[in-house]
Amino acid sequence: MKRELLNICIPALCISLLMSCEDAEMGSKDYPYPTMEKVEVMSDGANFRAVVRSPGNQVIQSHGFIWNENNDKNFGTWTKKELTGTITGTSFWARINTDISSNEVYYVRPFIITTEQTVYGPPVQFTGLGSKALVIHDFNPKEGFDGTLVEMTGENFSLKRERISVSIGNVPAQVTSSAETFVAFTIPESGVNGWAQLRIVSGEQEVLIERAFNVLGPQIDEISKTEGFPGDIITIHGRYFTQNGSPEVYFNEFKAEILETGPDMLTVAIPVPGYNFSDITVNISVRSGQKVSLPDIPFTIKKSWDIKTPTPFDWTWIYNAFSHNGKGYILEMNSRILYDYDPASDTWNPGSSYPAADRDENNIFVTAGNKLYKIGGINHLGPVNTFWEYDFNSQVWTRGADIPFAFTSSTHTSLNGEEYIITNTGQVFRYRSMAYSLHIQRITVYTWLLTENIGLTMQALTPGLKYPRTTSTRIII
Amino acid sequence: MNFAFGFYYNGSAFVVEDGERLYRYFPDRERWILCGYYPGCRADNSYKTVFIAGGYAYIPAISGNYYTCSPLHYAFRNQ
Repeated sequence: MKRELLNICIPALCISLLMSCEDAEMGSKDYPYPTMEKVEVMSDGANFRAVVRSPGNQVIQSHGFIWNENNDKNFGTWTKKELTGTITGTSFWARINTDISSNEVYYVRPFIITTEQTVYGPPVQFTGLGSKALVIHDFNPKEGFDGTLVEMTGENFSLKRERISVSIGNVPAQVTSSAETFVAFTIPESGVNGWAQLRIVSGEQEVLIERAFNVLGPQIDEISKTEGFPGDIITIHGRYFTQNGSPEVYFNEFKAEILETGPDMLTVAIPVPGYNFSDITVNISVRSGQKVSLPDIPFTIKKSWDIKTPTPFDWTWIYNAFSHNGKGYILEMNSRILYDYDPASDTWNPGSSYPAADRDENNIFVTAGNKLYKIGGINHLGPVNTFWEYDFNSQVWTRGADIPFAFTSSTHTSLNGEEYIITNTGQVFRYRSMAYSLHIQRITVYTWLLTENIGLTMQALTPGLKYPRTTSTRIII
Repeated sequence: MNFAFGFYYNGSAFVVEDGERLYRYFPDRERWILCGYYPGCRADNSYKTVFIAGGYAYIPAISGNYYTCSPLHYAFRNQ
């Protein structure tokens, strides 16, 4: 009696377990139950036909076939051909054009999706002979920036998106959606600039389209100059300078400072190419994001420096050179000799001797007419307020009356025909050459202080005005 | 010893910063633009001065602490 009960219960339990495992191979009369009826394999695909053995009583939403290289139960990874609409009669079929490789063994199952579940029929094995050729009909747009969405139409794209890839100029694009007759992808961020090849791969098939898509990137059309010195400012006209990222301008490997930026115009300073002792021919390029303008634009950076004869002395004094009548001068304080430099011969020549007993440095030198004025300075005891005049014709030094101020450092410049001195204490003196009138004045401190022997009129401007950099020896106003 | 020193040349103001970097001032843009590096070795160390003659700014490096890095003399131009 017990054996008979077991003989009944064990099969019943097995059937129950099989039916409750999953709905994939369910054959209950409550559900539609399809099975493969026929697989017709062709060199360019296959025809799949299924029969609905049991229609069930659920509402059918769609139906179709799945096929795969192995018979695992992870049906989501199988290639799927889904059909919509009602099933006419007790069978349905589909023409498969893609995703079948020659000499590959496949398993195909029919499926039916109802409002409640998906029912997969049992598999049938077949060996593929191939698929239809991939055909591209068109795509749009045909130019754009990185990130542009491109929609492509054609025939026989793989039904599995992961088997489709698109590259622009050998850079992979992201495929955002696909179907058997449609692929959409975005232009990737890359260095591709200009017309580029499109490469579409679907399964084992590949289509190349040369000069298919114009990736918009920086392009130089015109530059305001074809040569210039480092630090000169030029304007670059072109297109798409900013759309792919903040632009950078290079003269070969030398990065230029950008002064003004626009999508079709850049104003830049010519960069410094090291210590250029000769003209350098470079190529100008504009970079925006990963893109570099094409073609390179040739440009000549003119040389800035020439090597000249060094001074015949190398004492450590704070010399302040000056020029007069096309020559340079340095009062060499160690030897107390006024040297001149002749640019024509590139030579330094010793001249007159400076007659003062003391040595000082960091002086102001001003030339007016044929005179040189040596003003103030500093010696080992501190600032001095001596004033010397030198006559270039007679080569005679003459000491004048002391100046009414002193400084440890100073700067001076000319403006509107007048000379200005700014001292390290922030005093600003204006002086102008009064040929042979020899006046000096400091209005805010002194009334007119006339001295009859210095040839300058000095005047304090704007009491309290402080020049912010007291360490400079000269400034330009 | 290298404080900045400036000069007026070819219609523009220039400053040599720390003995090495030469800047030109563009008043309409209110900007200093780098336009050169002093070519001599250890330019940050040498004592320099400047004078203008014949379309050039002459900048001798008269003394310094590094052997062969002074005295030197270079002429700068941007015209």
